[in-house]
Amino acid sequence: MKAKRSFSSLTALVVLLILGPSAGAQAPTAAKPRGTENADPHGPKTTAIDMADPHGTEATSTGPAAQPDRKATAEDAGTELEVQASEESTPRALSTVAAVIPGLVIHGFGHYVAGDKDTAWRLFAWQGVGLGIMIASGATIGLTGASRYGNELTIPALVTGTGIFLNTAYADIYGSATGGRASTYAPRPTLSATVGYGYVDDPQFDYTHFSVVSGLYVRDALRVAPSLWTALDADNQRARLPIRYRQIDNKAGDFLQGQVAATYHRYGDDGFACTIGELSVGGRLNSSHLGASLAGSYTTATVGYALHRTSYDVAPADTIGLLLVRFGYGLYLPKNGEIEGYYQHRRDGFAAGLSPSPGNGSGFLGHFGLALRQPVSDRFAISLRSEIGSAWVATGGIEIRTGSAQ
Amino acid sequence: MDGDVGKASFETFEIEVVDGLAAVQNMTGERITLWAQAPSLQLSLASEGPRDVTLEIFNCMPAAQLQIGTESQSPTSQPRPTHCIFDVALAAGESQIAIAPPDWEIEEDFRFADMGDIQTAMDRADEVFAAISSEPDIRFVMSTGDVVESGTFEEYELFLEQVELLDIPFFSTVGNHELSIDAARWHDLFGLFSTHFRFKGVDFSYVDSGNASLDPSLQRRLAQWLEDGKDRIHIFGTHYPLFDPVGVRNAGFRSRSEASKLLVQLARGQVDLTLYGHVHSLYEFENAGIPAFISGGGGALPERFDGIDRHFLIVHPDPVENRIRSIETRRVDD
Repeated sequence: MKAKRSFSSLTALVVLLILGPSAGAQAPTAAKPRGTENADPHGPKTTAIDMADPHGTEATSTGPAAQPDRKATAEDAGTELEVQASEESTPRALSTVAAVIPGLVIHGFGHYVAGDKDTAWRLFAWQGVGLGIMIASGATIGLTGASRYGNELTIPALVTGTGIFLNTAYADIYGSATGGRASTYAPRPTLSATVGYGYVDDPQFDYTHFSVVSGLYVRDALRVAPSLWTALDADNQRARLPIRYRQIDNKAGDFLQGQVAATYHRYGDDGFACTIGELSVGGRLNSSHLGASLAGSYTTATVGYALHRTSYDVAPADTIGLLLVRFGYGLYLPKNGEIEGYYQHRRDGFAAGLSPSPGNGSGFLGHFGLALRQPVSDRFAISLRSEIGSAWVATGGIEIRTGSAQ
Repeated sequence: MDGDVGKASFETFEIEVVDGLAAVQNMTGERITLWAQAPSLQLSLASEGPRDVTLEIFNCMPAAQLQIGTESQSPTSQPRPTHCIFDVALAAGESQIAIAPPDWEIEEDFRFADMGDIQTAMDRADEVFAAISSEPDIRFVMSTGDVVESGTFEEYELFLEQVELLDIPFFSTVGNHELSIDAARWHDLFGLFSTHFRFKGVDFSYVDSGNASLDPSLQRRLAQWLEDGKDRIHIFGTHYPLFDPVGVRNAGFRSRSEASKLLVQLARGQVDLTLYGHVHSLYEFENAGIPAFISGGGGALPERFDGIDRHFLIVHPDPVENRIRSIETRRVDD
């Protein structure tokens, strides 16, 4: 029975992604808030980790354990879907199109067409903030010739400004298409372990197949999330231990956390190993703060600094800095699932940096990723992730959970 | 693309430049025009019958001699120090020709200039070239790329005008900017993206990292070059620094893992010096214990507050003592 319900849940997930407007379509216009019924301010604390994340710096979190009977899932909405879809399809389609053209240039335009002018203006204003930061930091970098002095400020500002700029575009499209959804944040249990498989397609290295195991332990504001990647076809291992402390955590999904992490990545076949110590601050913000039509989605950001030491079998080691900047936009899914697209600026690890073209522009970007976690029962969840940088990395795992939600 | 460089034919007349170290810019039955990418060239020419041929070499070494069989000849004419024209009488069949300065195989110390990143400053590149030409005993210039900004025909035309002011050849790999529009344009004009040659007992490997990475097929070639040059002074150049010493800026390879792997190869190959561009400033550091310089002082938008501006390096390898004697910086605008 559970399996059947899980399958239905996944089906609903796909329907939600494809037919955003219909899933949770309980409000007639984009301006009406939905999906807040689960934002229980007295609910359990939240946590964040993804075992399959080779860096683990993101601020994702979800889980089934705490709220197995949440309301307003896609299944619940299914019957309404058929009734309301025809009523809403035309205006929703129009606002969605407007969110793309000209909305990709004028963020908020989709909401404006949908009649949600308050949210439209807020998105437009935040677009301006993001654009302003981009221009200011980009101009500073350009005018100073990427001077060695000040990169610690200008580059994080450029990446973060870009994140704000892009996220307002995503939010406009999302809100215009869905009008807000019922799915909300759900916390994780105190203890979980994930076993999975990792695939790495990197023309520079011989490894391809990995076993990936990870765990999560939550105690109050503290989270410990060790992970281990072990190559099955080469001599390559990556062990990582992040420890996170949440200073702000409003249980509705907003949080701010500090993280210290240590990573050891051994490239046995290639004669070197990397040791990385990092310090970062990250957080998540429910997009519904900008407008009810954005309920069911969230924004994440992380900024930090690391020291990256490479030890060689045949030569003295090198130690240099590493900037940690990440931003993402995610959706809460029915049955306490989450999916998030993100950009990760760091260029160590498996995915490293994307070269957008064979020529100019190479060498600056980090990698892009898409992560999905979907509980399939009270005790199990599936975790999928794909990243594209200088290599393509794909992981999939089964998460086993126990303990009360924290 | 490098595999096609240096090969051409006209009817039944064929030429192949060994290791592709020169681009065949033009070929008829009577005349072959080459752009040299190395101080010494080995040519293989095949003709059905005897043939009088004019070999026109741009970017040649000023003292270049042509050797065919046991006979050696000076240029028939030499409009500029780096523009050598040889008239050659070919016998029927295959002829092996060498074009190089007489001392190219004599192992003794010499000096060369290293530079990178001219880009938008091409209209002022003559000042850099004049400064290099004013240095005594510099044998050639090695460039780590980003000669042009966007790779238009006009830029390359201007470069060809400016580089005429150099009294010595200008050998270069490509940077990311050469790949901006049409990478084949570089091949047509100058040939290889990645060059490897030996001069006076010193090995040079200047390889293409124009997309902040090394192509795996190039890595295999590099592995062979490293093996061949293990007991010699070996100088490695590429556009992107493997690691940017300013790690936060990260203007290096797009994968630190790949960079680390490559540094292991360079260390195992006992490379003596790594030279980079891309960053428009001057940095001296070590990577994997190998001395490293970033010298992107060709004139492109400079890094501010570094007190450097336009510059180039003068490198003095000594194959007899098996060491780099010195690396000096020359500022153009002093």
